[in-house]
Amino acid sequence: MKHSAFIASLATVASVVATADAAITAYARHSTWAAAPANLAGSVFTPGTAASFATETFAGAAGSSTTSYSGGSAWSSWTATSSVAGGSVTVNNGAIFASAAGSSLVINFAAPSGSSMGVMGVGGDFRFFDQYGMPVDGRIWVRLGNGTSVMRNFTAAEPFVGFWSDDASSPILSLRIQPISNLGATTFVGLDSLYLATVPAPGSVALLAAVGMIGSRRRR
Amino acid sequence: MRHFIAGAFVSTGIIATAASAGAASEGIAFFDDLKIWEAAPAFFSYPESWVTDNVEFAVGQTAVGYYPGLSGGADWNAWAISAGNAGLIANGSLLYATASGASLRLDFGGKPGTDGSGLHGVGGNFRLRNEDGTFFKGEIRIELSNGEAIVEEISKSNPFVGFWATDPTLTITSMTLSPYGLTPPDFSIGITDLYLGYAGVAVPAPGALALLGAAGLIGFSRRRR
Repeated sequence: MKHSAFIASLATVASVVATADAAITAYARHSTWAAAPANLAGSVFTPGTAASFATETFAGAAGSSTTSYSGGSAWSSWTATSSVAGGSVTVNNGAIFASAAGSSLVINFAAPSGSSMGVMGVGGDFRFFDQYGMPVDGRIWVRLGNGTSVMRNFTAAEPFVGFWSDDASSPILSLRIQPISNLGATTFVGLDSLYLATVPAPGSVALLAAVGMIGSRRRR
Repeated sequence: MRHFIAGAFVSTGIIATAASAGAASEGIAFFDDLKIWEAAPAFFSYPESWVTDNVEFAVGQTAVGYYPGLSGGADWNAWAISAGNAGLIANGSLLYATASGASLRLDFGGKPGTDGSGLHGVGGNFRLRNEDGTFFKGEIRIELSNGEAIVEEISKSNPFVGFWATDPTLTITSMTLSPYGLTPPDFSIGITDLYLGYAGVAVPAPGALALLGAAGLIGFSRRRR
């Protein structure tokens, strides 16, 4: 019985390490996105996967324009820049946006390092903003670096779009927020909440499972 | 059936250039608005010589009855709808799966040719239907044949979900719609309208296709003599 349990745990380890048919899934609701790890069945998501989340609300800075703006730490590190060479980004009133109308806002994320999987889930409340940081409805194209994207109207009622990668070899490395509506020279594209998520590396999950099983056997 | 040429759709409220797209990768773009889906190809990095077009099939208006599966279109816009082990029911306005909770699968025959021309966009108006025939708002998961997916809420006012392959080399052969976060029984996924989008060199006109077919038959007949 003990052996079969141990073999079962090894089978679990093997299945965790194995690569499934994995890709990107997009979500239109924040609550569904946040709950997604329990519903995804890919190479990095096993039943009971505990994802780690980080939220950036850009509340700490106001009225500043720089060529790049960074935040987060370790796996949740991010840097925002303008798509235009020499362009800048503005943080104001709890929002971050490209400083020039028509420019895209590009956010790059930390690459996987050591036991970190990097960013496997990303979402945001996307909008246009006026120069005071007040949100404006409009059509935006939210594009991941791997090519998956969502183009739609973003409004106060529906500001969210999010993505999960369930492929261990395909963390989310960048996000491009591209304006589609032309709302004039003083309206800029950006976001006022950035949601990031990661999951334990498959190897560490497997190792924890094996160590737990061995510990259990010794106690018996 | 309705046609639309992307190049003809330029609104003053829309930035009519994709210049700000920069070096972003191409892949799958998802949409929840038919008008945006129709206008979107103007922003894609398709070859300059390409044109886009789309056609609409009012599959919900199929003659009332039971169908094990249903197909339509031709050439680049050939399609087939099935519901796995379940069948399909057409009630005159909606085509829906007979089994509660069953997935709807759409297969596409218009795979892009060697030059990439062919089916690149798919959209539809979808509904969640209670057993008593009323519609309700809920989430569905649409998975494409390449594994990419979207979880989208559909309702009477927002029934549309669609995608375009912005990568001209990408081929999508099918998509599957499943209820998400819903517990059977008592509901079915249905479809009222199917939209298929073409991207590539000049759209083959039905008349031209028929002419080519006739010419081919004549040639074949002459060779046999």
